[in-house]
Amino acid sequence: MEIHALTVYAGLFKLEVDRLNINKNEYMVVMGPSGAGKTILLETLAGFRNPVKGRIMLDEIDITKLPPEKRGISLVPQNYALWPHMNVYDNIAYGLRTKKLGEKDIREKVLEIAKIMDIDNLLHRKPSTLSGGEQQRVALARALIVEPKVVLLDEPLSSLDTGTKDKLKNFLKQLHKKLSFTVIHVTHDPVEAFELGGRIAVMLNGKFVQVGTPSEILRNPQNLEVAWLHGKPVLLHGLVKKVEDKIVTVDIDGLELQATTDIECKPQSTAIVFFRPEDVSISLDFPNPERFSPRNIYYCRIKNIKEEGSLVRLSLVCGSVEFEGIITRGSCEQLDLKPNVYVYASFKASSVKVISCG
Amino acid sequence: MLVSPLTGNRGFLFTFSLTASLLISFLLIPLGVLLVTAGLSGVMDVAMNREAITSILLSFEAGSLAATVSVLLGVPLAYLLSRVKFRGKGVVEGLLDLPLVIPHTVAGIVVLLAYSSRTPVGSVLSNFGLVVEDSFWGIVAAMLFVSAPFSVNFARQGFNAVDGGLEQVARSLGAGPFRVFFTVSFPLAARSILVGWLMALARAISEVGAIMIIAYHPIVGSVLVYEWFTTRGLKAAASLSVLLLAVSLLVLIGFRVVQKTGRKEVGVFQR
Repeated sequence: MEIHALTVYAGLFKLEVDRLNINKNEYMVVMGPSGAGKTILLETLAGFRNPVKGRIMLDEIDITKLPPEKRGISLVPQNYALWPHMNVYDNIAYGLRTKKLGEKDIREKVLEIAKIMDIDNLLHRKPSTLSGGEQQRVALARALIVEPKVVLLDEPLSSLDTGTKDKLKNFLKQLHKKLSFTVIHVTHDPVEAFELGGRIAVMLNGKFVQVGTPSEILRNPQNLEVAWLHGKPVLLHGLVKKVEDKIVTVDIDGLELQATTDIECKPQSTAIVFFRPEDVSISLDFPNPERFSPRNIYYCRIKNIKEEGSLVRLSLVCGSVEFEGIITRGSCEQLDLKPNVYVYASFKASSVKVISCG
Repeated sequence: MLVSPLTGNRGFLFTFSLTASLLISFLLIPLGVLLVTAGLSGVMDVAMNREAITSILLSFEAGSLAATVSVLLGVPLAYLLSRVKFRGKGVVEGLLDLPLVIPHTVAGIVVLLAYSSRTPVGSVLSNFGLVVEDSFWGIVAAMLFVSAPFSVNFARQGFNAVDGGLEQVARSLGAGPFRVFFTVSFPLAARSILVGWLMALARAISEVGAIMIIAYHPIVGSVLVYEWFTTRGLKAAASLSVLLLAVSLLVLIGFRVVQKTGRKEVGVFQR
C-alpha cells in the first residue's frame, strides 16, 4: 500500500501524510498519543473519510475514491464491533456470505479459521457472552476470513487487562507469522508498538514524524517528542552475550543485564529490552540474597528525584547507563534518599523482557 | 441493586409522594367513574352492538394501515436523520414534530386543503381511487398525519443506538449500504421500530378532531363516542368509551412488553 501526499480534514483537525509505503505482509504499527490522528488515518484508508488531496494505492490500483466495500481492506475497530444479534459463526461468516459463497464452503472456511483462532468452541455463542480476549479473536477471524489485502487494527489491545493483553500480543505475533497478511495496527502504547511492529510510524499532530524499524526509532528518535513516546517504560538497547534457558544476558554499554525472552535470541545479535520503572527496588545495602535474589543488581548514583503524588521517580546513573525507578514516597523518606546518594538498584530477570532480537 | 440516593430523607419523600399521588388520583378517578357510570351491563350491550364493533374494527384497520405506512416511509427518513448531516436537517426535524403540537382540527383542515379531490395532488390520487373526503382513505390520511412523528422518532432513536462501527465493519467486509442496512442496522433497530409502530397505532386510534373534519363517515370508534354523546347521552358514550379504553390498553401492554424485552436485547452491546 502506498499513500501519496494525503490531506484529510476532520472538522478543524488536519491529517497530512507526505508518503508512506506499507509492504506486502508487513506488520506496520502507527504509534502516537491520543488525538494524533491515527483513527482518522484508518477511517480514510478504509474509505469512510474522503481526502481533499492525495492518493491511496493498493496493489498498484488507485483506491482513493473507491467505496469501503470495494477496497479489500478489513477493519477491526477498537471495540471490535461484533454484531450482537448474530452468533459468533454468523459474525465470522458475514463477509463470505456477502461474497455469495455456498454455505458448504462458508462452513469449511469458518471452521478452519475458528480452529486457528482457538474459538471453535464458541461458534454458537452470542458476542455479549464472550470475554474481551475472545471477542478480539472473533473480530480478527471475521476480518481475516475474507482474505483482505490489508487489515486495519484500531487500538486492538487498549481495553484489555494486562494478562489478556500479553497473551493476545503473542497470539497476534504468531498469527501474523502463520497466515502472512498486511497489517496496519494503531496504538498509543509504545511497548505494544515495539513488541509487534515490523516497522513503526510515529504520528504526532496529524503528521508522521518518523518511520522506521523499532530499533531505528529507539536508537535515533527524530526528536524529543518521539523519544518521550517511548520514555515511559525503560527501554534499553544492547548486544546479546549469552542465552541460557530463556535467560538472555545483554551488554548495554558495559552494563550486563539479564532478561527473559519468549523469542529466539542468538549471541551477538542486537536486542531491545524493556522493564517498568516500578519493578526497580532500591536499597542502601547490597540486597540480602536470602530474602531477595534478583539477577540484576547495580550500584547507582541518584541523579534526580521527582515526586509524583504518592510515588517518587528516581533518575539513576549506573555506570554509563541511565534509567528510572519508581518507589513509594514512604520508602524514599525511610531511606532518606537525596540526589547524588549512591544506592543499589535491583530487579529480577523476569521483570525485564526482550522485545526484539536480531 | 442500586441503593436509592434518597434513603434516610423521609420529609422529602413524603412531600414528593404526596404531590405525585395527587396527579395519579387525578388520572385514575375519571377512569374509575367511567367504569361505574358505564356499568357491566352497559358495556356488554355495547360489545354486542354492531355499529360499535364495526367502528372499533374500522379504527383498528385504518390505524394499522396508517401506522404501517408511516413506518414504511418513516424508517428511511429516520435512518437518514440518524446518519446523515445535511443542510436543513433542523427544519425537517421541526416539521416532523409539528403534527404533535398543532390542534387536531387544524391538522384535519390542512390535510383536507392539501389532498381533497379538488386539489392537484388529490385529483391525481382520486384517479387511483384514493379519495379522502368522507372515505376510509380520508381516515387513514388523518391518522397518518398525526401519527407519523411517533414512528419516525422511535425508529430514529433505534438507529441512534446502533454504533456506526457495526456498520463500518460490515462495509469493510464487502457489504454495500443496502446490505448493511438490512443485515445490521435494521435488525438492531427493529424493536424500536416496532415500538414506534405501536405508538403510531395508539395515536391513530385515539384521533378524533382531524378525522371528523376529513371523514366523519365511515365512522370510527373515537368519533362514534362523540356522536353517541350528542345523540344518546353520557351513559351510552361511557359504555363505548370503556370498550375503546380496553382496546387502547391492549396496545399499551404490547408497547410495554416490546419495550421491556427490547431493553435486554436491542442496541449496541457493550463490553
